[in-house]
Amino acid sequence: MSQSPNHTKTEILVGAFMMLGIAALAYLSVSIGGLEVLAPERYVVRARFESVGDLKPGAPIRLAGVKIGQVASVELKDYLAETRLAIGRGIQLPKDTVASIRSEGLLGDTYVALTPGGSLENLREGALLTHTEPAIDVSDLLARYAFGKSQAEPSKEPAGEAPGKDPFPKDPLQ
Amino acid sequence: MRMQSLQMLGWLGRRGLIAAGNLGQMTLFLLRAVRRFFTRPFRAFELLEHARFIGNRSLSIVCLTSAFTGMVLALQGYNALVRFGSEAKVGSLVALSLTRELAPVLAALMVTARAGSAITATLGNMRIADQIDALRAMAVDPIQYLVSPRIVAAVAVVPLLTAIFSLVGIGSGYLLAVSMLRLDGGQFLSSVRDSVEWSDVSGGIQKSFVFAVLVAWLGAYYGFHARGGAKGVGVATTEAVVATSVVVLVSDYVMTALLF
Repeated sequence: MSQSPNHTKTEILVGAFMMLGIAALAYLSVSIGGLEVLAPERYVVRARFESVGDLKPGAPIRLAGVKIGQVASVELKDYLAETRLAIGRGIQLPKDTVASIRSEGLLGDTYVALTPGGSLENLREGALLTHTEPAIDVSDLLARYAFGKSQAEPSKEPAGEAPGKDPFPKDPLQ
Repeated sequence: MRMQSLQMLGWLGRRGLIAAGNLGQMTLFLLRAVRRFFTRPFRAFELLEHARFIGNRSLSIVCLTSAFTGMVLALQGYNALVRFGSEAKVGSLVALSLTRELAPVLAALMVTARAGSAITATLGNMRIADQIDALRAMAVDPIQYLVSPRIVAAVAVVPLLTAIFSLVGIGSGYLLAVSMLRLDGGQFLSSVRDSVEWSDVSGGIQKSFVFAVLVAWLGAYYGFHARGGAKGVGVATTEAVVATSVVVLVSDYVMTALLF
């Protein structure tokens, strides 16, 4: 290829365009898309929950509100939901750490909240968290609140004795 | 009555055969163009020239359309979301719709309108002026010389235009949300970051690779097979732009159904 000035001008312009485009792509992927080019060192602990609600792989793991890792997988094991939690290498967690499923506000995303315990031993790679709190079912809570206790756990008292529940209340004027 | 229905059946069959023949011809055209790119002589300078034409020269129109797309998304999203009191999610609406759908599709449509039509018109003019036959007479493979560099340049450049489209769109949506809608900028950006996953970005970029091939391929095919003088070039250009736009939108649906 000859090196006329016209060629080099085209080359420089195309090169500048490619740089701009690749920079845009990189910013979009890494900063906005959250692509981990240099994946931070992580270790995995497992936690079993009675119910994970709508927790999905990739959901954040927070300790004191700060993101320290993400959920690697959610699977069914022994009729429980077993999650694998990938946590940053630098963060040591005591053995009696409590994992609970929380959500950010009523409509927010679900995440795993960790509350460190007081044990002197730390969790190792692949260890199983024994203390967990299942997801809170908002519609169940609402139902309990709206319909009172009787809906969730039937009242033990005989229906007739409960005040205000008499199907044919006596006329107070008599 | 029986004759008529037989005639109709024959007409349908004829159309079907013609359509299948065209499709086969187009596929062979693409395969030949791709194969010839990897044989000597390599047309490096043509590649650069077309990359400049499709990429650099489309940059301003891509930035302009993406800025307005981002702003209108923020505006409309705000109007819809404020009714549920979730105007904090405007950022995620703007960013997700841009990265997954609008950036690849609109960038491809803009490139079709600007560069695809130019490819058809150029090749069509060369065809009716017998320049393509002249190339062949000079033992220059016209597909290798005219078509392959355009397709490869489009594939190299359109995904980058798509990324620029997304970014400029999100940026202008942010500016509008902060300056006119009085939304919190930090909240906007954090909802963008939280909602957009790497799979959204990569899905959009994968789409744009396919669109790039479609734009250059169909544009070159229609130009290469133009006939009938100056009017024919016009007809070919119109057909190419219409066909490319339709195929881009249809294949976008198919890819969305398969990818996400």
